[in-house]
Amino acid sequence: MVTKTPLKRLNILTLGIVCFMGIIVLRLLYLQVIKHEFYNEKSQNQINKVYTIFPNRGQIFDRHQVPLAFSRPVFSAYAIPTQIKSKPAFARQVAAITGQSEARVFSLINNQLAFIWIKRKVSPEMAKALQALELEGLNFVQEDLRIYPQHDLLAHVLGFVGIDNQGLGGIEYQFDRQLQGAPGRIVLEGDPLGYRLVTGKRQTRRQLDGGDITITIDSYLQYVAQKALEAGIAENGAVGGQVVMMDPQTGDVLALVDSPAFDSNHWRESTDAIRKNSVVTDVYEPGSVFKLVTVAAAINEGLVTSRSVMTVPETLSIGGRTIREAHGRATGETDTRSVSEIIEKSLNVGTSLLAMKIGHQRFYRYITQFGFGAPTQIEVPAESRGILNHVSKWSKPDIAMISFGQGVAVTPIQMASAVSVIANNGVRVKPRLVWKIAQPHSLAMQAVPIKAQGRVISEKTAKEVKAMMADTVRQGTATAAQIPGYTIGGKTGTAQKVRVGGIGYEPGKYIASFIGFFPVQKPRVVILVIVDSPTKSIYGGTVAIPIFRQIALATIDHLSIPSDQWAPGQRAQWVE
Amino acid sequence: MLKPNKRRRFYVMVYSLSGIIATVGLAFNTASISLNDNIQKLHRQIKVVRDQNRELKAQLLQETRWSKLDAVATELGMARPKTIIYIAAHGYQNTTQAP
Repeated sequence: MVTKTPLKRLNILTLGIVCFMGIIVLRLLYLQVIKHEFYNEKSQNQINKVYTIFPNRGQIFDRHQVPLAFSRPVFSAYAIPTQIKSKPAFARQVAAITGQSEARVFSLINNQLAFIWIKRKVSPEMAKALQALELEGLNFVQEDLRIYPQHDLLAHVLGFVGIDNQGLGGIEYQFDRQLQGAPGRIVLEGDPLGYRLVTGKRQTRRQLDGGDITITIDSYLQYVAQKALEAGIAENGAVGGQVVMMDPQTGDVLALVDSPAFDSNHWRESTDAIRKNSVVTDVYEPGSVFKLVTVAAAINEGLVTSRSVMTVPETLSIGGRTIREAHGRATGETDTRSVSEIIEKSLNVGTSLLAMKIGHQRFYRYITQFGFGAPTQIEVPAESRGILNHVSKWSKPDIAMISFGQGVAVTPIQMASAVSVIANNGVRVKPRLVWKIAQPHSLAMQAVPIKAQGRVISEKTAKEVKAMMADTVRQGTATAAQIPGYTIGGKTGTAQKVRVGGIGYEPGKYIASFIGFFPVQKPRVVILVIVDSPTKSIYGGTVAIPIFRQIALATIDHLSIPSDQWAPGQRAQWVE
Repeated sequence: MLKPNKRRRFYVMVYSLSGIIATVGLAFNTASISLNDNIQKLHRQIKVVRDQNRELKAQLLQETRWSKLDAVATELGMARPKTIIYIAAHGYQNTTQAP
């Protein structure tokens, strides 16, 4: 039998200890060198207690600093289920006040969670009633509730926010970063139980409150326009409508109405279809209003003047398609028409002939220069570019159809912007909805500049088209738009409603519209009124003009627009 | 080495000074605690007033919204006059003629 000597045993023991120490050293190397960052972060997370300070969301004002959206403090109720003594009793008492079912509240608290929301952003009365219960495990935290004091006025423009005050639509979504600001935080070094360490450091980062935004909308004009449109819709048995009011010189949108409206305070009660802003997202065939583009292009190219006379037959065949007038010729009426009459009487054939004179390429160029086929870049989300086929894809009759507003689809804001070009003596200005923005935690407001997008037609052409539009109101299809003392320029439009999906028309459904501006020489406002599927009458002249007139009268009063017809010192009696 | 008398005086001075510093420190600390309390109380009051202000502003804006003012005006029988007499003061421009 071989016995181990003490020296050998000592060597083995030493080796064992060395190996053991080696393992410890390797493990330490692994933990402290290789996994250094991971464990360092873990320990910092244990030591550092982070408290977030939420910023106040910025306010939204109208152009006269009337608050349209701001936040007020409310309470939110939460529970700590582990602290609740009798969960069924808790559920019963809380449910009786919050209006939730007892089973629902019980399911929320029947667990061992450290935190669970019971009901967020409750009314002050409900908060008081809940606090009066003095239930163990029921706590409250103060949050901000976004409120829109004008309710359904401007909901499509302002949009709305989610439960955490994140912008979900309209200006609230588009300018969420500026409005939201940045949360601040306090970092304290403490022990795992949460007590602050005596030697602990304190780091503070102030919250940046959201910046305020001033929009170009005049809330009074918006109210007047919405009221007039809703009355018009009800009177004509229509399904909806839009109004856009713009200052043609600055591009400022003074009113933007989309009906039916919804209340931003209770946006969940409305459908997506109602919440979308049809003024920028939906397209329609403009019908006769588009004739203004055709005539402006023809005059600007020097092909005709407003006084040029041409032969305009009752029908026109082109590419196997027959173009007809909306209204038949009276007995004995001749085919000779001036260009001004083509607009005054809204003649489809005359406009088609003008478009063919202009030619495909040039006509397409004018259409795009007026802003069709591209978004206007107004400051609201989900803007449509409209539907305008490239000229290379036009079939033979397309040029004629497009000349009087068929086979082309535009958004209401594109239409208002295009007619503003004529009103602004040929210069296109980008529609502006946001006037001033303050960056987070800043009182200084930064103005959004007026953006001229170049000359589309000459000043002479614009003045000729304006005069034709004034004649349309004086003696043409829009005489109902006259207002004593003011020269109004305008054009009616009646178009079949395109089916959802864009193929074919909905039988018996029409879009009646009117666009006008005043005073003609230097227009202060352009007003577009669109009524969707009226049932009593289908024509822009009878459906949209009365709405336009009501808005125009209130606008004259509100903006103190002086008469352009009465002489100084003249007394004029205006009987409505 | 200091003499016993001087040493005694030195220690009396040191202890007295320490006592004075401690008393002043304690007094300052006590005063600052109450000051801090007051500051915190004022901060809380400011916050309450600020919140009440926001609440009142919300109520005011709800009561002065256009639709509400319109409803009150209608209720009071206010209506746009049917006949308005205008006297044009200046700015005559005849734009009815085509350029």
